Amino acid sequence: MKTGFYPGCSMKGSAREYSESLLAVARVLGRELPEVPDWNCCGATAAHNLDHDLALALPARILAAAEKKGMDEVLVPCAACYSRLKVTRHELLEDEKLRQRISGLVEADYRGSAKVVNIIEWLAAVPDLEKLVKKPFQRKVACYYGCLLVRPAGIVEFDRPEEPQSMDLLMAKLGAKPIDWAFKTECCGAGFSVSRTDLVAKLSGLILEDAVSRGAEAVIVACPMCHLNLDLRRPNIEKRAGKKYDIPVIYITQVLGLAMGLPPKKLGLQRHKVAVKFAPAESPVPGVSAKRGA
Amino acid sequence: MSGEKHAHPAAEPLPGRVLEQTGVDVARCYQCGKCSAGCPLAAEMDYPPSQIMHLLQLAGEFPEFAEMALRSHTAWLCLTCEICYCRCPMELDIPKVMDALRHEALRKKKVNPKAKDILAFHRAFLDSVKHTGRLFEMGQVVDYKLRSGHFLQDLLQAPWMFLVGKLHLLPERVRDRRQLKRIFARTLKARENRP
Amino acid sequence: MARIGVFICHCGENISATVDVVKVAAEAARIPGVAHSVEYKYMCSDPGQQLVKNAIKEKNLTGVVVAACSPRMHEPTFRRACAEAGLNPFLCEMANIREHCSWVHEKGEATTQKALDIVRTLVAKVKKNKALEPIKVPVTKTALVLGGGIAGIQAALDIANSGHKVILVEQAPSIGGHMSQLSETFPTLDCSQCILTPRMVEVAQHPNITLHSYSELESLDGFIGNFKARIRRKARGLDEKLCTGCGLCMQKCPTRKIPSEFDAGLGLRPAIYVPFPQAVPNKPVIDREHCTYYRTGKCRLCEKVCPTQAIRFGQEDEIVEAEVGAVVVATGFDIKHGDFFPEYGYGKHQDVIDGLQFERLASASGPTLGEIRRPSDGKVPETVVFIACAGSRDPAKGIEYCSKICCMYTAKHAMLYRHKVHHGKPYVFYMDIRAGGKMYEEFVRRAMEEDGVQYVRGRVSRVYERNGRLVVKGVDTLLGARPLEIEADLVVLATAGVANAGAEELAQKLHVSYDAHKFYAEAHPKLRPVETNTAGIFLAGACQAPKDIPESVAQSTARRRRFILPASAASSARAPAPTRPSRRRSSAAATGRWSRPWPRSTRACARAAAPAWPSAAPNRSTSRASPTRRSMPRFWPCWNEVNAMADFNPKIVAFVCNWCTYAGADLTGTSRMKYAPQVSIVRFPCTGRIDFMLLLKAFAGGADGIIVSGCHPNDCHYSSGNFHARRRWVVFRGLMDFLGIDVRRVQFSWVSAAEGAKWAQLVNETTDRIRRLGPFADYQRLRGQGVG
Repeated sequence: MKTGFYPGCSMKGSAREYSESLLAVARVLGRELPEVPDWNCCGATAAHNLDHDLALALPARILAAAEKKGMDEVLVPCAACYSRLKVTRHELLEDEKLRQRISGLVEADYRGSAKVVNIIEWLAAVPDLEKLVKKPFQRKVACYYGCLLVRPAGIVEFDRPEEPQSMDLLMAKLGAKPIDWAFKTECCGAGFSVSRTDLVAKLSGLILEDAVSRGAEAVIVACPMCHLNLDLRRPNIEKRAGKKYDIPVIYITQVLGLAMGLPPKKLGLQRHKVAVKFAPAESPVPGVSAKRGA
Repeated sequence: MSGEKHAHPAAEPLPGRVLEQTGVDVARCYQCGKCSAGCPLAAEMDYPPSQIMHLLQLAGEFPEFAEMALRSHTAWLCLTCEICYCRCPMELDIPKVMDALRHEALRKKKVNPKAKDILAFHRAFLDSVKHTGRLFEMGQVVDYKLRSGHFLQDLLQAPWMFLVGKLHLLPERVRDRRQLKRIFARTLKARENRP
Repeated sequence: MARIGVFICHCGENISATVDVVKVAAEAARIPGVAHSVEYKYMCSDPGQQLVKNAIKEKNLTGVVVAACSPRMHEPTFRRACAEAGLNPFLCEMANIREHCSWVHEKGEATTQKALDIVRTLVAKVKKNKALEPIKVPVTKTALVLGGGIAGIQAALDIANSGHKVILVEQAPSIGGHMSQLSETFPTLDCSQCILTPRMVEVAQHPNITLHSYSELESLDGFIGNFKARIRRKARGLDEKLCTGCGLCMQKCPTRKIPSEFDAGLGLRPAIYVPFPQAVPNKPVIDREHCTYYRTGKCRLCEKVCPTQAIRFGQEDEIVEAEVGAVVVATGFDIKHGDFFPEYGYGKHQDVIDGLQFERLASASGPTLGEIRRPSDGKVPETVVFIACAGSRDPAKGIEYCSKICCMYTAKHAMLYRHKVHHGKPYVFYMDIRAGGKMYEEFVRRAMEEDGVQYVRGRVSRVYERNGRLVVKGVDTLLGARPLEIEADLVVLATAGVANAGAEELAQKLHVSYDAHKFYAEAHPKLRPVETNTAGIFLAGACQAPKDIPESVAQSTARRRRFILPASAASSARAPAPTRPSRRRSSAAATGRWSRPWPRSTRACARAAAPAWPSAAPNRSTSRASPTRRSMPRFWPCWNEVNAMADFNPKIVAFVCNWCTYAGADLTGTSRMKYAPQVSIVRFPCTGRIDFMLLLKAFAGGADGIIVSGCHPNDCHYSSGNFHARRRWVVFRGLMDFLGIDVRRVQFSWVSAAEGAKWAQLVNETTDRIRRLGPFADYQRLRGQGVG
C-alpha cells in the first residue's frame, strides 16, 4: 500500500502547524508520506463557485499525478481539499463521458485507481494507536467535524452525517474525554473567512459557545479552514459575542503528538492565535500570549 | 410575460438548464422547507433555499422568477455546507443548484451587487492559482483588497501571522504552470468569454 | 366452425390515443373465424356490455374476445355479460391492449400492430377454449381471524354474531392492539378503553369465538373453504385453566424493571405480567428473557405464591390444528422507532418521544396516570413541539407515502396537552393538513381556534438539547421561509406508520401479495378492496395501509359480508383452474415424459381464484393440450415489417405468471412507463408451467428472445412453482446448448406485482441484449424438425 500525501495550499502557509504535526506524528509511526508530485491547488470553494469544469479539472490533475506515481491512496488532511478530491473522483467515476472530457483537460488519462482518505480514516487504520500514548491527553474535548468530512454522505461515505463518532473514538483512544455536544457538524463559515468575516464570526461563535457551555477544554479540528475561523478569527468572534473565549482550537494530529509526548514546538502549537495553555511548555512560546487580541 | 417567453423560443427555460447541468429536477421539491430550516445562513438570504427552489419551479413559465433566482444574493451566500442536501427528504442536491445559478449569473453578468466581496475573493483566489498553481495567501489577500477596496481589513493580523510563520512573502509554485494556464483557458476563461 | 366476436374498447381515450382502434377492428374482422368485430368508446359500460350480449344472440357467436383493459380489471364483468347472453363465460377472453400496449408504448403504427397481435393471440386461444362449469367445493364454516386489534375484534364479533365459528389468534398476551394503548380518540375525544374493553370482553365470552392469545400462525395449507391452519400457542409458563388472574405473582416478582411494551417503554413491568389491567385474557405470561429463574435457575417466587399452583416453568409451545373456510388478516401496523431520525435526536434525548408514547403519557391508565410529564425529569412541559410527517412522505428515509393518521392524532395530542396543561404552549410543525373525514377538518380547526395550538407550516431540520431544553430548528415557509427556533421541553414526533416486523413472513405463509413497504395488497384497490388475490383470504385494518379506527372498523364489517356469502352456501363455486396440463404425444416424444410440469401441490392450485384457463380444464378429457402453447402467436406480421427496417428490433415472447409479473406489467401500464413494444406477453397461471417445448415453439414461431418471469422466491401462489421453473431451467440450458441455441436468449426473472418499473427495465434490458446477439435465424431449421 503506497500512500501519497496531498498537503494543499493552506498547510504550506496559514495552517503549517497541521502539516508539521502530521509529519512529526508520521515519523513516530514510521510512515512515509511522499507528497503528490507537482501538486496544485484543489480550487477550493472558489473554483466550484465559478466554474464546474475547473472545479473538477484541478482535483483531477492532482489525482492523475498521484495515480501516475503509483499511489494507492492519497491522504488529504485538509477537510476542504478532501471534499473536493473525493467529490471529483466520485463524479468522474460515475460518468464516463465527463471522465473523458476532464481527462482531456488535464492531459492525462485519469482512471480513479488512487483512493482519497481523510486524516481520521488514516489514523483509525493505525493498529494499536493507544499503545503509543505516553501522556494521555486527559482533557474534555469537543470534536468538531465541520461540514465536509461527513457530507454529502452518499459521496464521502465516511461516518454518519448526523452525530458522527469516528473522531470521538480516536480522541478516547488518546485518553481524552470527548463531550456530547450539538455543533459537531454545523458550518463555521468556511470560505467566507476573508470576504464575509461578519458571518464567520456569527457561525463560529455559535460553535464555540456550545462547546464552552458544555465544559469542553479544547475544540479538536481536522480542517485548516475551520481552524482559521475558530482560532485566527477569534477577535472577530469575541467582538460580536461581546465576551472572551479562551478555549484553544487544536488539530487532531497535534493532540496525537502531545499524547505521544512530542514537544509542543515540534507540533507547531506556538503558531496558534489562542494559546494552548495546558500544553507542557518547555520554553516560552514567543508572540502567542503577547499578541492575543491584537 | 408570455410574450417575453415567446421572444426566445429556442432558449431552454432555466429549470431545464438546471436539470441538464446538475441532474436536479426542481419539480420534485414539495416545499417542506427543511432546507431553509437547517441552512446556517437562511436568515441572511434574500430567498432561503426552499424559496429558490420554488422560484425555479415557476421560472419556466414566469421569466421574472428566473431573473429573481439568478440575481439572488442567496446563490453567493451558500456555503456549500451540504446540510440541506443531507437532510432533504427528496434528496435534492441544492448546493449543486446553487453552483449552477452562480455559473449562469456570472456568465450573464447578473451577479447580485451585494455579492461583490465574495466574488472578488473567489476571483483573487483563482488568479493566484492560475499564476502559481497554488494558493499564495499573501498575494491573494493583496489582490482581494485591491478588488474589494477593503484596504484596512486584517491589516493588524498580517505582522502577527508573519511572525508565527504562517505568512510567506514568496509564493510556492507548480513546475508545470503552463499546463495550469491551459486548464484555466479551456474552462473558466472560455466560459466567461462566451456570449 | 368458430364464430368469434371481437370487441375493441377505446376506454375513453386511454386506448384510442395511441392505438388506431378503428383499424384494429377492421383488421380483426379479417382473422379467420372472426364473425363480428366492432369498436366502442366504453365497452365496460351498460350499452357496451349490451353490444356484446346482442352480438352473441344475433350472430350466434361461439366465443368472445374483448380487447380492452387487463383481465384483472374487467374479466369478471364481461364473463358475466356473456353468461347472461347464454354463452358459457369461459368462452370469453380479454385482450389486454391497455396496460400492456396503449399505456406503455408511444403512439404509432407499431403500437396499433401490437394491439392487433394481442387480439389475434386471444382469438386463437378462444377458438380452443371449452365450455366449463365451475367446480363445487365444500366449505368449512369457520373463520380464522389473525390479529386481535380493533380490526380483528370487530371482524371476529361480526362473523360470530352471524352464527359462524371464529378462531381469533393474537400474538401478544392480550387482545386489544394499538387501540388499547390510546388515550382518547379523534374526532370525538371519547376514551379509547371505554369503547374497546367491552368489545374485548365480548370476544372472550362469545360462544362462537375461540381465542388463542400469545399465539402465532405456524402454517396455512389448503384453499378457500378448506384451509388447514396450524397455530402455535406459545408457552405462557402457567396453566391457564387454573390461573384465576389474581395478580399475586406479578406483585411478588422480584424482576420489576423491564420496560413495558404496552407503555411504549415509558413504564416498567415485572417479568411475569399482563400487559395492562384490563387485559383479555387476564392471565399473565412469563417473559423468559428477563425472568430470574430462566436466566439463573433460581427464584421460582411466583410458583411459591400462586394460590392455585398454576405456574408451569417447564411448559412448552403447543401446536393447535384447525380447519377453517376463510381467513381474515388483521395483523395491524407499527410505527417507526429507533435510529431513524438522528437529526431529531430520537433515541438520544429522552424527551423526544413518538406518538404512541404521548398516548401513554396522556392516558389515565398510563405511567403518569394521565398527567403530561416529560420522561427525563418528570417535569410538566411548558412548551411542546409536535412534528408531523416524521418519516412519512420522506423518500430519503424510504417512505414516500402519507401515513394518513398523523395529522389527526397530532391535532388530538396538541389538544389533549392544552386540556391538561392550561398554560402550556403547543406548536405543530406541519407540511399539509390532511383531515379528510367526517368531522375531521372541524376537529383540527377546533385545535387551532379554541385550544390555541400554534400551527407552523414547515419541516423541522434539527432538534438538539441545550441547557436541559430542546432546541427545535424549524422554519415558517409562509413567512418567506424564515428560520424559526423554538426552545421546547418536550418534542413529539408523529413517526411514520409502517408494516409490522413479521408482515413479510406471514404473507409468505399465507401466499398473499404485499407491496414494497410490506403492506398487504388487495385484489383491486377500488373494486375488491377487502380481498387478497388468494381466494378466501381477506384483509382488515392497518395491515393493508395505515388506517384510522373508523376505517378499520368499517372494513372489518365489510369483510363479514364477504365472508358470509361463501360461508352461507353449502359449497362454494370455484373457477375451474387447471391443476396439470395434459400430456401430448408429440411433445412427449420430443422431450421424453413430462416431468411434473405443474406445481406439486394440486391442493394449492385449487386455491387459485379466478381468472382461469378454461381450455386447460381440470380433467384431461376436456383438454388435450395446454392452452398457452396453442394460443401462442406463431407469426407476428408487424415484426416482419420492423425487421425490414435497417435497425434490428428483436421479437420477444414473455411467459409471465398471472399473480406477480402479469400484475407487475399491469402496474407498468398504470404508471405509464414506456418500454420496447416488440414484446408479446403470454399469461400463465404460474411459471411452474414452463416447459422446453414452449421455449422451442416460441423460437420456431419467430421469437429472438424469451423472458420467463414469475413471483419472487417464497411468494409463489402455488408454494413452489417459481422454484420449479428455475429447476427446469437448469435442465433446459443443457438442451438448448445441444440444439445450438444461445442460452442468453432466454432471460429468467422475478417481478412482483409492485415492481412496475422493474418490468419495464427487464423488457428494455432484454431487448438490448437480444439486439446485441442479433436475430435468431435458426427458426426455419427448428420448424423443419417438426417443432411448431
